[in-house]
Amino acid sequence: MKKYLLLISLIVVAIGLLANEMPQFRLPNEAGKNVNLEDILGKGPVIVDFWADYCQPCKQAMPAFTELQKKYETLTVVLVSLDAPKSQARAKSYIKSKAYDFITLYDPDKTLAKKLNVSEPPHTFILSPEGKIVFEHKGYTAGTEKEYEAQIRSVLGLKDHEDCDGSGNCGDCDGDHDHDHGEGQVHKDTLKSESQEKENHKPCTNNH
Amino acid sequence: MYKQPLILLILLLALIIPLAAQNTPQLNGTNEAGFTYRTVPDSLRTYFYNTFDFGLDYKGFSFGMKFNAGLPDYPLEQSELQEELDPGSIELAWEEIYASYTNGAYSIHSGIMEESFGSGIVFRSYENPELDLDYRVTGFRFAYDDLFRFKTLYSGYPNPDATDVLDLAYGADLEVPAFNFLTLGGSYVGMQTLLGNSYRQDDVLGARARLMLGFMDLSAETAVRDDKNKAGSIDGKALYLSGSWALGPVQFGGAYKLYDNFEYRNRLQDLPLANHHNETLADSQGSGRDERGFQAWTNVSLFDGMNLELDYAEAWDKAREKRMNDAYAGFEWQLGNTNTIISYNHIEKIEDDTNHWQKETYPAFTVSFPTRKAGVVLSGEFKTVEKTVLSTHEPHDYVDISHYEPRLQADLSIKKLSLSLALQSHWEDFSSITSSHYWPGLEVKYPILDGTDLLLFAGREAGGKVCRNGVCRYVAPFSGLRLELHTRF
Repeated sequence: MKKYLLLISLIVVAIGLLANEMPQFRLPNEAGKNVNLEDILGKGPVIVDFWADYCQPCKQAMPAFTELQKKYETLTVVLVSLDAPKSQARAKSYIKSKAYDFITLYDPDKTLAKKLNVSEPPHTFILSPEGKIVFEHKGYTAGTEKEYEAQIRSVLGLKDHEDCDGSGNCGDCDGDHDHDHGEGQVHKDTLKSESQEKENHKPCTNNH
Repeated sequence: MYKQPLILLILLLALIIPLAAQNTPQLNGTNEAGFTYRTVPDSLRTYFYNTFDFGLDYKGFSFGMKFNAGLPDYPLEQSELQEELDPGSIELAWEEIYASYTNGAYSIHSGIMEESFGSGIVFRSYENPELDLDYRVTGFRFAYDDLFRFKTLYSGYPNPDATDVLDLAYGADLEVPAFNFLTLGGSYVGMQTLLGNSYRQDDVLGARARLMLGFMDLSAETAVRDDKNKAGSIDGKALYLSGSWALGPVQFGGAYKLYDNFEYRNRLQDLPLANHHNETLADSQGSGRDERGFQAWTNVSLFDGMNLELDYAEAWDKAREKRMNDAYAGFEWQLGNTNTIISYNHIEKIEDDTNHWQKETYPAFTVSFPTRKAGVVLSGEFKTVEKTVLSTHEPHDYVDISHYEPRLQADLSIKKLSLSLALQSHWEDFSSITSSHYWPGLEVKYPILDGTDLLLFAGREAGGKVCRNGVCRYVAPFSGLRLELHTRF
């Protein structure tokens, strides 16, 4: 028994030593062209979201991704469809009908999904520009996007909005800051000048 | 005997520790542990299970396996539960082993695998854990994927009637971009299946084309099958056409299917069904045997985040003795963070040869919105099922009967805690509302650590597809209490 415990402890330590990085992949996009991991890295944070056409919570998350993309111009959103080949046409039509500006990839044989332990969509990963997985979340309900935003801000080295951790006040804080900086462009502007953002940032409180 | 896992662990460590010194080795896996208490009286009301799997990736090399200590998965059919839950069925084994190596455009894979040729008409090997389907093959695969796509495989899979006998499946698939807007492809699959005391040889040839012109996407796939056994040879054919057009905010599309003697015994295929609900022509036969049909749909983006979707499909067999129609109308409104969907669903199946008729219709709604402290999802549907059945009074008479299946669900997520409360019922008629069966169920999900979720389900559920706590899955009928700990690393 002691041997087992020792071995298990060693495995846990070994796992801790391993890097938590996005594995290499090569998946086709909606036009059938291959996209590699390197193609999506380097610009800024990346959201990799596994979804399927039959999954309603997956679809509910997409407008939130669009909003995040509008706020953080260096953010790249990659949707990875787990739909069977026979259902891919419908998945493509859905994305097209909503005019989403995402990179859409298809993984029907779960080559990437398996490497990331994805079994049920939606399953979302946030990557640093270098490809390190900084956050992982399974499922989506309204409000989860605030957690995503907090993680993206953290990757960008921006100060946390108070309560941007999913407790529900982040949106209000954003609203106030949007007013402070005008036209709701606070994040885009400050991403271009991070130091300015840090200077201008005001603490959010529930009284806003 | 117990030295085997010890040796495996040592091997694993020997592999991991040197890799840890490298730059980017990847180790990932899951562990799912569960305790189940079922209120249904049978031989096994209370039991534990555990599955552990891991995958290792390093510089193009991948290796993975799964340890299963528990009962086989719950079947979705209630009638199969008793047999499946026999304590003698408990498995304790390493399984699902694979190894692969990728170098640029080239890759080789050995072990258990999922694979698709084209749209899945000619060949598809896959697993769907939610539906408890496992049609994966075990073998070797070589693939090249750059200027064109080529893959070839040689594999075995358990015979459907005798699981200790391995049948064979082998083949190759080629896809070539002819121009920027046109892709051509071809496939060959050979299968040898033991039937009785002789092997049946199936040879399938397929061809496909896809045309993409920005506003228009057209695809066509056809296949012929030569199914040989001692008694002779049977020819089969398949044809699937689909297209979509985008004209500004309006999209429309259609599909046509024709399957004739194209149902594999081994299920290593996944035929497009050309209807919204993915329904087969008849519950009594597989789609590939004898089925034709069409589908037409439109999707209109209205103003202010409103979207309208309409979908209609019909299917029939050669003699037109079996017919079905499928319709869907959905209206979606995205207003800020609030999402509302109202839909109407219709599925009707007629089998003249067996006097079978069934119609299911259900309006449904889903509203999802955040409040100041929580995310809320409310959903519901009211299904009406009408069908013709044999009379219980007159042996050869048929009578029409109907019942209702209402369902309501509320999901709440407060910080990291997720709650889902559902209530489903089965009403013979409106006068029997108080005396009907009800299935109340509560699921609580809480991430106790990063990557570790604790799930508790208590109550009863009738089974089928459920979306709760932000995740969709198919569940088996269940009554009791289930505590699960899911860990990802």
